[in-house]
Amino acid sequence: MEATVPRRKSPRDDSVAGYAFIAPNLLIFAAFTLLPFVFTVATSFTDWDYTQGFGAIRFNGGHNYLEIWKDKWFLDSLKNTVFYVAGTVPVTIGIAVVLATVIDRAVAGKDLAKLLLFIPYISNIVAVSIVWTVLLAPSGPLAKAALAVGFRMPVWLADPHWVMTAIVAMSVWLGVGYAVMIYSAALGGIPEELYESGDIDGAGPFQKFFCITLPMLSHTTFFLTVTLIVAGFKVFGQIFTMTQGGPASSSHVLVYYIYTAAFRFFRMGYASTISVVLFAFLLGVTVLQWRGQRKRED
Amino acid sequence: MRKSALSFLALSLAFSILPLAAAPIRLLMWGGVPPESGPQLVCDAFNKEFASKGISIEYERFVNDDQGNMKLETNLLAGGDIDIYITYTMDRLRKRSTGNMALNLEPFMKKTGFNLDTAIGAEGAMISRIDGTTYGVASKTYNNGFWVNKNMFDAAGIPVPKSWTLDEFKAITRKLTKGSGDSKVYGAFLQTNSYKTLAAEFAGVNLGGNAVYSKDHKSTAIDNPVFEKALGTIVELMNDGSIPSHADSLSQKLQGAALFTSGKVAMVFGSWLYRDIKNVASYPHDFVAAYVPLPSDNSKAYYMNGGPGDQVCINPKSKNVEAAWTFVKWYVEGGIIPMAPFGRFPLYTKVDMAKLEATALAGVERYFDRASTVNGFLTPAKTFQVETFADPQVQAVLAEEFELAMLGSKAVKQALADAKRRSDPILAAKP
Amino acid sequence: MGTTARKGKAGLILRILATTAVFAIALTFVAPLVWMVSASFKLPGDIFEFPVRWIPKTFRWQNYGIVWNFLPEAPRDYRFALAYFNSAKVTAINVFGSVLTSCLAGYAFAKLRFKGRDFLFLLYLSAMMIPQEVVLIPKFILFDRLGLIGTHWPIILPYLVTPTGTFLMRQYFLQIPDSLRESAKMDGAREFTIWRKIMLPLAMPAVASLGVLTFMWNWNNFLEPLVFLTRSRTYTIPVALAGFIDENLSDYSIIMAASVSALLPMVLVFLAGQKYFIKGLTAGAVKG
Repeated sequence: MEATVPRRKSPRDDSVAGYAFIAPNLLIFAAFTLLPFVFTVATSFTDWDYTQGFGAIRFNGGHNYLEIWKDKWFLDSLKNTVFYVAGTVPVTIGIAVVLATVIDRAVAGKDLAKLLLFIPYISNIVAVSIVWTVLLAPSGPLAKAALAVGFRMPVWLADPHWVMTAIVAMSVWLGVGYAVMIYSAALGGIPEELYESGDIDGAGPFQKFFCITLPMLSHTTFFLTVTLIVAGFKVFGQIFTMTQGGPASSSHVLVYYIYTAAFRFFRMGYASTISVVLFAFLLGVTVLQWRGQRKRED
Repeated sequence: MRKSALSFLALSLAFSILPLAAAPIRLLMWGGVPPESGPQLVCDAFNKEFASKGISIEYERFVNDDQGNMKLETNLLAGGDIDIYITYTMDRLRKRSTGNMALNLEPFMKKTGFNLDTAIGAEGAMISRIDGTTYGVASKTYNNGFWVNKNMFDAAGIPVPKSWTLDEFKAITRKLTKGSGDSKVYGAFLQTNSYKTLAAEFAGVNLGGNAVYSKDHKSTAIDNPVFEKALGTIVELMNDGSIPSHADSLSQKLQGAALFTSGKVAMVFGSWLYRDIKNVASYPHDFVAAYVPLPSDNSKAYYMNGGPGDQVCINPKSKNVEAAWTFVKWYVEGGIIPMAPFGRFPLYTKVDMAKLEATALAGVERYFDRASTVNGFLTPAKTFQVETFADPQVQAVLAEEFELAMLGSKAVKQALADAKRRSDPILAAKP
Repeated sequence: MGTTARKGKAGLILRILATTAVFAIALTFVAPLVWMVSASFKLPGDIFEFPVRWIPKTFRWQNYGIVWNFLPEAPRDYRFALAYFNSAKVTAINVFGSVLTSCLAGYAFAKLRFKGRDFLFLLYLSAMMIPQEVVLIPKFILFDRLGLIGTHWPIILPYLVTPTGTFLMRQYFLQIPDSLRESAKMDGAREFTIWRKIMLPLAMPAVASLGVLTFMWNWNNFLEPLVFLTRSRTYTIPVALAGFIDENLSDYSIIMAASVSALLPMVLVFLAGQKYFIKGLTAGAVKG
């Protein structure tokens, strides 16, 4: 079928095929991720009102990088993003590891349970956000249920003190199924003998959980921590649909501020600066991940 | 059901693949009013009239909020897809005129003998021009204010006022508040969930346009006591339960039309709700609604909120600017009439107002108090609060600080001071 | 896997307890979604009934008719069918495109030897850190200059490649023994033929995993369509839904009907491709 092209080169060199195989991938990637990234960094040093066209780009040194630390919107966004990460990551992981362990010990319907937990994760963020908006409303079922047992809930999404907590709770609900899925896969890899020797030593279920399960899952926990931190820094959909960053700026987060700075205020340079800062945080997380991994491998 | 979905899918597929036929000009217009509230009738009329000339128009609705306007502007900046669009505020017209999003209309006006001042009057002309050049022709006029439930006023023995001060408004709102729980009737609903800077509108009625900004636009003027009075009044009424709290408005997404027509509130801010109040099929009710303008403490001058508006603009990147102007002229000179039953009245000076009033109230006379509706709502006011400047960042700051005051997280004084402290550097830094 | 399980009565009781607890929790987790489905069939006035009536008193199918514009009482066409079509179109192109580019490059990185391979691969690894959120603005400017804002291109072109997918495929190809390729080479097969006829069929499980993952990423993508799709006729489902909510703020029954319509396809695809989906998600975790 195929005519053999006589080759002079060493049989180990596949340059032509190699470049041809990666070319489409590399070109698209360079055009729509790498170059734009360089551009983000460059525009982050400019003041640019996009409505005034390309002529309005003005290099302003590192001024934006100074301005952000005086900008209430940026500071609130940063604070809320960190709150979100600090809230969602440990709670999601904590709930998931317990749930996954318990599911693993369940008599029946393991897969069904995991499936039910997982559905929120694959759901359209706008759809689940609107459901939660209604559930959390003062006339919604949660508030009424709380009232029925004599407890008045805060007006979650309209209260500057509670709005982020509500968003975190909703996001934990979104992410637990994913973490359970990952943990369940890892639990399958823990040798049963470990538990049996635990039985012989007379360890109770809690001892076994803390002394066998948790240490054996530490690798997965590490992976999940990193993944969830990265996802947390990029939170947007919930905020956009449920609160539009409000009330006031009490639920502004970094990506939401990038969005408003760029497409409501048309401050392209400044929005790029926030993008770079966001990237710096993600870079920090990744560096920690690499370090952690190296330590593990040692 | 399934069949129509399939055919719709097939049709949309065909539309996305087939290039449009070559010769006739098809204009695209963007506006903020739902198509079924007039624009579709306007387009149908135009298409019928101009079919022989090979021009037709299609309408697409954008939601007239920050997000929606951003979408519009993104499209305008991106290309010539949209030919005609409506601008709803002066600050946006300014931004669009300086940002190459609105075409200079002077050459077309000259060519077709369209005299702006005689066509739409001095007030209209004023908001059509930016620094002396026409960028969008104002097409409609309307007086903003409250719709009030006249039956409730009558029952409480309160005459419907023709004008009122903030304190009178406050007292009446309190008097009309009654009941509790599910049968509670609030004195008023101010739509603070969508109009977070409502206090600034109240101030503008007293002070005239650009009340928020200093003359040179380099700082804010919200330290004027009128702002504190206006915001303070709103907050007081929220605190004593005479109007729904801001938290309730936000978290329950309260809607003015539904609350008013169901008798849950005695007064509602936003005379544009006229088109919903008229729609008795969707909003059944049997009381009479009367119009009252916004309250003002200024006894010397009254600056009506609303006024001439709906500036019709042409996209500079449109490939059909000539045809687009043909539509704009036609629309301003009476093409807009089908919008009247939905609460947008022509600004065109040669339109027969009496006939319009008849059209506006045809079939729904019994739901409106004729005197206040005709004299107050339909007859254009003489002086308006004309906003010619606005900064999106400052508007965002005001919305946030006013919101905190309305939520009770901050004292009114503090909120205004913080708003000024945050806004002034933003304005000072602008070139 | 707990196959041998705990012995004795105490162990069994514990496990029955665990099962009950797990199901109680799992049901609580889906409750909001069940509430959504139930609300989508209710009259607007019945939505806030308390205690919650999970099965509606009267089934109001019209909610769906209004969303999908089948019924005369639909106030207007919200173009939901069109949004479905747009989502399906964009997702299909992107799944096919990104799986293809991932399989090609993943194979090259795993099996072929060429200059700069390791450098390029390292570049890929580090690029996985650049999230699309960070390059949103330059992409907007780029597509604006190209006149593509308002078309589907801005949410197609960048998504024809996924570094994660490339990485995933490379890992999978690494597990396939080199000998298969070498013997084919000996028979004189061309590289593309080897990839197409031998390697790709062996990598099908990974292809399926990547396929369902990219389906989810594209189907649920929100931020970029929100920014780039400025014409309502180009809206994909999440953007159409956001717009729909904007317009029908207080009518929760039809909002819920629209929401159910929006997430049904994803749930179906997930149920169909469950096995691959989980494999794809856990591949990174297990490998680290």
